[in-house]
Amino acid sequence: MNNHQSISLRQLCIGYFLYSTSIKILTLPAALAQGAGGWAWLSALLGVVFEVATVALATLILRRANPHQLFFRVLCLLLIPCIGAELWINCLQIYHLAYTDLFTNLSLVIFVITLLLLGFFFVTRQPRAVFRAGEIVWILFALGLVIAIVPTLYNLHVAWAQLVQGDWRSVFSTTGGHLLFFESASFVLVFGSETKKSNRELGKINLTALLCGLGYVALVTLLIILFGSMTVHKPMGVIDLTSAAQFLTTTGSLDWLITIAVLSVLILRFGVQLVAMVTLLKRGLNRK
Amino acid sequence: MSKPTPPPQRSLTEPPTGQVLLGPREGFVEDVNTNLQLIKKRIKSKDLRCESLTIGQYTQTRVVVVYLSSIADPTVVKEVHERLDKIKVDGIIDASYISECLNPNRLSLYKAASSEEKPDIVASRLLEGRVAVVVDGSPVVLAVPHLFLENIQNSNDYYGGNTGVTLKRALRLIGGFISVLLPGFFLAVALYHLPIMPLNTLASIANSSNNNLFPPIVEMLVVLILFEIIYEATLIMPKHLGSATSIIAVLVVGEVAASVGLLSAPTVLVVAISGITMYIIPNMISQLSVLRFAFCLIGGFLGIYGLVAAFMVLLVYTAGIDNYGSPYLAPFAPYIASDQKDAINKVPFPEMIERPQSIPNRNPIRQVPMEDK
Repeated sequence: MNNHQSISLRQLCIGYFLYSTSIKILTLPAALAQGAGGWAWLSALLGVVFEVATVALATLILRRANPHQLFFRVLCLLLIPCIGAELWINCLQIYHLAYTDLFTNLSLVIFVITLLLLGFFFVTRQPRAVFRAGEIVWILFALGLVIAIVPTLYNLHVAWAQLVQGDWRSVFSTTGGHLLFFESASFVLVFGSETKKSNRELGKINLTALLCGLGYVALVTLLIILFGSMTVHKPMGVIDLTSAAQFLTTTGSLDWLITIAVLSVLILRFGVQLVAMVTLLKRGLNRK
Repeated sequence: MSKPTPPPQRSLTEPPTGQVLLGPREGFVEDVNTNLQLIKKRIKSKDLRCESLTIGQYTQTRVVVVYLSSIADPTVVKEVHERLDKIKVDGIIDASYISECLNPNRLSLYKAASSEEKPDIVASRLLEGRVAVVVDGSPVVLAVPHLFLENIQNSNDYYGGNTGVTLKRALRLIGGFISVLLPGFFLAVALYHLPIMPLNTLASIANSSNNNLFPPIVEMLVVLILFEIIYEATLIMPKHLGSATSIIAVLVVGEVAASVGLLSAPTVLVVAISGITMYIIPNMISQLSVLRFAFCLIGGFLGIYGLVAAFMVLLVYTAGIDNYGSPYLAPFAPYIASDQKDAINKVPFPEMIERPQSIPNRNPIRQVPMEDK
């Protein structure tokens, strides 16, 4: 008998990887480098510790709480504005990426209309449809990361001194300003209960969070080594993906492929957030 | 009193859509009894069930639901029967009428039932746990549920040896993507993202597009429409006029239009490549054709950003389709590890020990592992 109607643990872990990594790659390396200089890798590490702790707390809540309890339903309703704020930031990131790296003639009005159409579409989808799509998209995203990073490693000259450049005390303010968010924990809270797995298996999401975090720290360290504290960025601290990718893809100008990979994941992320808000609303109002 | 003469029927021939280099060449005919006998010739088990019903007020068409009771999921069988029982119509002429009724979502872009013209394929579908529907008067037998994966599988993959099958299936899948995305991508790059192209290619495209009559979007749509017209003409016209149509298509569209400046050579080339790759997946020609137009318009107006957004919409839409308990994109999404043995990759037959989990079934074990001495 098939049991493909709920979200599987594999889909949840892949969704977590795409959800947490995509936005971090785009915005945080430049923002962290701007704030903490060469110590951005330490700031990223502290952020990962916080993130893994919040995800562990989220899985603990899922294990103890009954979805029909008043506490859980109130929590669901309280998460809606949080995810709404994340959605807003995500939309801004999509616009910046599309406008600056892909389509410089993109009108804001046209962008808003397309985003609204996308929104109407995603709101009517089941969570499992979006997570199944993630199982396809993550391959493109991983390919983009591989194309971006692997060729660089051949020409990498490690300048360890760059990693300790700047004032280390700025690490804490930078971490506080950019990394102390509950994005990942809210993701786990919303969709963790959609999986029909045992509490013990649900704990594997903590391992996923740890691995994603360590990978992200490695990426930030690599970018600091390459660009130093002048990690190229645009307003809002958004990394100039095209310039970075053109530098990284030393085996040809494949920067557009990396941009497409990141953009596709950001749009999927947009869909996940909308589906999350609908799911939370239904749960908060105790409706299926 | 003389016995009534049986209605005439044609002989068993190889169907045009299921040609193989090696393997069975029998095809279904329009008589339901003959078709059932062709299936029973291959599946002799007592578990083979043939449940008959009559649909159509005036045609009184006999429709037979066929399945293996020890393998097929009872809920799928029940759902098929329920859908067939709901059909109240004046007449059923062909299986395609039934096929649309079997689709849970009638506005879906994709079919919920595969259309098979060969009994060996139907037999293999039944052995996987599917349910077949045989319709009197139609040489097409339906099989539910239908998965996307079946569109990139071919009888030659199973009858001609294992070598190269994985490559061929990967090419079919890539061909499907190229056919849908290439025209739109070309338009988007030519209009908005010129830095992507290498300089030589850019110069070549610019030179050939200089004196064109139409804007690039209109030009692409004109060529796509011409292509569809030629395709329809090839299907409908008598066979002895085939060479004349080919000459007209090649000369008019390929040579004259490009040399006069009505159409640019790169555009004709892109549409030709897109068309050729479309025919790699013959079961999805209609869907790919429609999607090609849609992506062309989106790429022309919104560039790569629009293409990416549209692709994500299509992917999420397709991933959300469930037919008779089977996700349409299984075993890719959701990923089912055991089914990867016969997905893009194809392992030798002795290693296919389990039935596909993508299809609901009651008996997951297909064969006992062979012991090599």
